[in-house]
Amino acid sequence: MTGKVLNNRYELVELAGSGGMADVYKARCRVLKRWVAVKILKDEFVNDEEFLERFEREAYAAGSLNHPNIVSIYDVGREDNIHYIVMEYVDGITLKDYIRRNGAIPWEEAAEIAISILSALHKAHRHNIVHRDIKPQNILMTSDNVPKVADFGIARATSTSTITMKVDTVGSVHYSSPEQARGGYTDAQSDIYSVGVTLYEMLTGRVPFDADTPVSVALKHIEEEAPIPSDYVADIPKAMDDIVLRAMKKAKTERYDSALQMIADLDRAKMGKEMSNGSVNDPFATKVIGDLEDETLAGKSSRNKNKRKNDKRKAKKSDKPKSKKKGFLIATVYILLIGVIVGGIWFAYDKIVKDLIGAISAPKTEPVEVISYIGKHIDEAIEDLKEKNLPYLEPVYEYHDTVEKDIVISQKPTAGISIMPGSVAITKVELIVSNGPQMVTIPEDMKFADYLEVELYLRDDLRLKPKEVAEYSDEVAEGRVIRTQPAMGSDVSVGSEVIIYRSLGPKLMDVVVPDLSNDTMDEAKHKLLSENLSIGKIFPEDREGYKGRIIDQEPKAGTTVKELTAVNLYFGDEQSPTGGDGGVPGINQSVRVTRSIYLPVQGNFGNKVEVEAYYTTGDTTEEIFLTRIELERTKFPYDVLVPVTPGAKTTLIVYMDGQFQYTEEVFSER
Amino acid sequence: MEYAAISDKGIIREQNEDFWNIILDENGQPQAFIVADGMGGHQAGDIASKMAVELISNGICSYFKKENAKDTTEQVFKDAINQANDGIFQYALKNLDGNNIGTTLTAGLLNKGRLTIAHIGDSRFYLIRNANIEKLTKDHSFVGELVDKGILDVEEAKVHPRRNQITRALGYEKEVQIDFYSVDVYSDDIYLFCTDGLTMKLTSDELLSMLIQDKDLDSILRDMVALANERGGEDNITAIAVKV
Repeated sequence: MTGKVLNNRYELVELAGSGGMADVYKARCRVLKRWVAVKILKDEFVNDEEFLERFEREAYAAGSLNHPNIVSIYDVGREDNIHYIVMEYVDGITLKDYIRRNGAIPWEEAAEIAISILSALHKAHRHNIVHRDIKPQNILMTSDNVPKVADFGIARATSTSTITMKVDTVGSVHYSSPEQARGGYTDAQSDIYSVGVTLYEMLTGRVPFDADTPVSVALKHIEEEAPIPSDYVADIPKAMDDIVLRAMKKAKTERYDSALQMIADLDRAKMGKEMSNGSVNDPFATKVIGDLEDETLAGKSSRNKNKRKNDKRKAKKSDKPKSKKKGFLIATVYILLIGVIVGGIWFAYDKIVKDLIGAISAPKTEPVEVISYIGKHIDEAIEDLKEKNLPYLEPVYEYHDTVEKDIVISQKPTAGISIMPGSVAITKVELIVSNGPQMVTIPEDMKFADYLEVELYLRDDLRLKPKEVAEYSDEVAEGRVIRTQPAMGSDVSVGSEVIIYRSLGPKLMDVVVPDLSNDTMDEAKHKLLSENLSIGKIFPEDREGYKGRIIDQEPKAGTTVKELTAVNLYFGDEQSPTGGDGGVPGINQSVRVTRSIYLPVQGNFGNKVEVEAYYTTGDTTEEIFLTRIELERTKFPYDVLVPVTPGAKTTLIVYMDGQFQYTEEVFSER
Repeated sequence: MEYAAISDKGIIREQNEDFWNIILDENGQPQAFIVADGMGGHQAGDIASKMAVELISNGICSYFKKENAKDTTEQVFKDAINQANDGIFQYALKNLDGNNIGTTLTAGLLNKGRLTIAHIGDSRFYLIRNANIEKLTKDHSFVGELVDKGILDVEEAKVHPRRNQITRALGYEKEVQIDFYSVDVYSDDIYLFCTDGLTMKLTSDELLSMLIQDKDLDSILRDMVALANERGGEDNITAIAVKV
């Protein structure tokens, strides 16, 4: 596959990896001139339409996830029988290899990596996308050691396949939750379980449950308790042990409710605060999480309502003992910092920033909410950003089929998120601006060209939207192009619709098929040609001369058809030799009988004899080839398997050194 | 002895990766039955199952041609299957860049009033006797083993995401472990060899009630395939039925 160019855009450079379902290639995108990873679905799946549909749907859904710890999906496509996903190219290794190379990872670093994975999952879960196959093999570590989660949604697609396959001995089963092992309902908390296992492996360098067979591993996930991580690596703090074991609880309800909740505990562990008695009942943890969840779920529309609620709560909080409140503040600031480092989750905390940032001595500046610039002119957007003293990156221009030039197409962070302005800025606003539609020219010389080629060229090379209209034409042959609308030679914008008129050939009249029964070949030919019909297949096939009379025809006499329709003819002594074992065996075919081929005693043969065997079946005399082999004399008698059709006579015919030797009746009836 | 076989690609797949064969002796009496459900990709999915059926058929036939055949039926079977395993494994090594292929195998060999069953994977052998149906073979599949352990029930297994994953396959690895079963042949016994395309769609009770109808085996098998296809037909369906 290397060297192939998919849809004239993705040039496959080298095979980068291979999984159970797909091969991954490093590829160059010719349009955007960048490296991408192209995941090509393996052959065995491409005939399963239901699977393909699901595969594409899940890939598109995952494509909507934009997060620094998620491998971005750029494109989903197919060319002929090649189905592929184009993804961000990550120059790095999998977390599995990272663990293999480094052994157990220091717990602080393991916690960081887990937080990144969880922040990616938090984003996905908010979009109702469950990964279902979190494992170190699916997490890529960039050269800067940034974890990126790949293959969102793909595990779900595979579950519809009926293709028989060997169970994977090293993969997912080590990381699947008990409910997945049972084939039960999976949700966000199944991902939490898998993160727990992944964290376990990072901390200890080993998976919690291992056994000889995948089934035994699955059973352990269902039934056994894992050894505590610090049993293997002594300096793992108890807080980390607790987090791993809680994430890996057999019952979903005992696990963390959400990725955010687990992040909060990891943050606390990193601060050296042990979890007192299982964080479920920890008033601090539940309190914070409750707030975050409110915010996360409430969304933009209820923002004001939430603010009022928060104000009330603030009043309540001040009633609590001072020490507790102080802990709360420190934790919050810490969470904030972590949030900024991992990116993407920080917005969940921004309400707390607003409430509490004033209480911390350092910055007096208030964060500013980013408004939506989408649909605004870039000048207007920049003016607003300057006015608010918000930092921004140089706008990126991209061609866009429908958005006018200089209008903002998308932005980061999205509207409603608050960021720090001026000198304390951390995040900069990124704007992507339309460069207007890209223009292309419809080539002049496409009349008479093959319709499909033109359609593919317009769609894939010029990126237009071809639309097919069929017309009769006396001038242009069937299946070829008559003209386009806009006309050939016009300049049009990329993405616009072009009508291609495909010729149906000359308009054909309806004719009635004549009755050919009892006709000779010549009579039939004459009748058909005079009606402007053609002669189709003649049965039985492969006979020289057709002397008999016609007993049947297809289409039947009296049928109305278009001129030039082919009419198949069936001659009198029709025979139906049964096919051997080729193709799909039908009922009662492919029963075989063994027969030995003997060297005739009276024959004059050398040391080596060339044996050819044929057989006939039914009443035909047609000899069907069975085998040809050169045998030494000592190899006789030689066994062959003769296909027989129960109820039909089968005869074996043996030739040696090109001379007929003997026939033998193999089978007469059942 | 009445017998019939059917193989249908179902209504979704483009290719039939199941193969079967019935070997008859000199008197036209059935001697051996084989069904195989192949795995290994678009180009290669049918190679292992086809090779398995051919190699095992040849192995069995050439044994019975030998004079003074003293080996037990099980030993004959074992030799033929091990040869097939080796043939398929070597073929993949040489021709498929080490991309493994494999196949399920459920086969029966009649000898001296006993039927010996050799079994690998998730195709099945059912014994129908006295209006009872018994699945003799254990499914070597992820879900099959969990069912045997009592973790899943039969219906849960049919919708499990890993329902298509087998834990043993002929030709997939250098060596293969074969399960053997043996039954005494009684008159009026019915034997059913079939691939999972049938058993994913029909319950064993349904198989039983269809097989004991007063109808010829051909039409019964045709009805079974039609029903499996009516219920989705996502997989290839193959079955051999034998009535003593």
